[in-house]
Amino acid sequence: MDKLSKHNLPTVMDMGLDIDLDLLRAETDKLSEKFVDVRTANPMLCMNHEELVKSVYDNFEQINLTTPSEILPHTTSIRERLKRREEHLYNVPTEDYTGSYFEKIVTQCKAPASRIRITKLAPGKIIPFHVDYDVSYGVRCVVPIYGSNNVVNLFKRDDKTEAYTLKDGTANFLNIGYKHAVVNMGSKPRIALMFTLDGTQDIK
Amino acid sequence: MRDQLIPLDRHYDADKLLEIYNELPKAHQIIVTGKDASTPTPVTPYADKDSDDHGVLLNIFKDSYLEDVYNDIAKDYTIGKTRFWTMDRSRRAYSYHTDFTKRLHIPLATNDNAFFILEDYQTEHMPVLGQLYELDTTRLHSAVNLSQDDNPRIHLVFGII
Repeated sequence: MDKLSKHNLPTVMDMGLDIDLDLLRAETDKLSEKFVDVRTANPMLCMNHEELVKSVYDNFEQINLTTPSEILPHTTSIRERLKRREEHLYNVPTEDYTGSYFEKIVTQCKAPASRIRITKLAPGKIIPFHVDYDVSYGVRCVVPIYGSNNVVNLFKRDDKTEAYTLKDGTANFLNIGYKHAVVNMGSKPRIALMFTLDGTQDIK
Repeated sequence: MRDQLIPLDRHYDADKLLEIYNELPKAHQIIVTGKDASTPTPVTPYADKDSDDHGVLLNIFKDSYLEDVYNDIAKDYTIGKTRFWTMDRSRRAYSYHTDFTKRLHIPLATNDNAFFILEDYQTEHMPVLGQLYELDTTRLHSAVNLSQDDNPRIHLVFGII
C-alpha cells in the first residue's frame, strides 16, 4: 500500500466514532467559563502562524485539554519546528480531560492523541485560508459540538474550492495539508472538540 | 446550484464606478437609491428591512456614470434597494440566509478568496470586474471575503423587484 499522504486521502472523512452528542454538549457547557484567547492557549505554536493569529485573535478561543510538556525557544525554521514535533508536545492531560467524556471519545482512536482542545469561533467570523501539515506529521480530527449546517469548512484542492459542513456529534478527519478555512455563518459560536493523532492507523 | 448565479452578457466600466465609490464616505454599505431622489446619502444600511420600495436613484448621482448604468439596467429590471457593498477585514462573512428579492451584482474590486456560498454549500466567485451577474438571493446564500492581504471586495448591488 502507498504511504498515506494528503494526495491519496479524502479531504474530509467521518471517522465513525461513537459519540453521544447530548452528553458531549453537557460536558462542554460545564467548561464554558474556561475559554481563553488563541495566543494564551498556544504558547510556542502561535509563532508558527503569527499572521493568522493576528487575524483571528478576537474571534477564536480555546480550552486546552492537554498542555505542553515543554515550551521550546522560538525558531523561525519550519523544518526545525517539524522536527521538534511541537504539536505533539501538547500531551499533558488537564484535570478537565482525565476521566472525562472527552477522553472517552478521543481514546476510541488507536493512535495517541495530542493537542486536545475545545475551540470556539465567534458568529460571523472566519479562520482565513492557511496550511497546517500533512498526515505524516499529524492527523487532525474535529468533532463539532455546536454549529452544524451554519459552519462551512473550505478547502482548496486541485484548483477547486471544496465546501463541507460537518454534522454535530461526528468525528471527522480533515486533510489540512491543503489550504483550508472555516466560516461561521451562524448567529451563535461554533464550538468543536479538536485533537491531533500521532499516526495514520485510524484513517486507513 | 449553478443556476443560482448567472453571469450576464452585460459589462460596465468598473474603474469609473470605483472613482465614484472612492469619493463617498467609507462604510460597508453605501446607499445609492432611496424612496425618493432627495434622500441624503446615508452610509448605513437601509433602515426599512421589509420593504424593497427604495429604487429611486439619489440626486447626488445624477449626471454621473452611475446614472448611465442605473438607466441601462432599469430598461430590463425594476430596481429596488441599490448600494455599494464592501467586505473587508472588519466584515468577513454574512449569515447563511435568504432575501426577499433577487440581486444583480457588478464586481468593482475582488480577489480569489471573495466568493459566495450558495445552496448545497457550493462556492461561486464573480471574477470579471464590471460584468453584471444575477444572483438568486431568495435562495440560501452567504458572502465571504477570506483574503489575508486586506483586499476588499467591493460590489455595486441592485435589488430587483
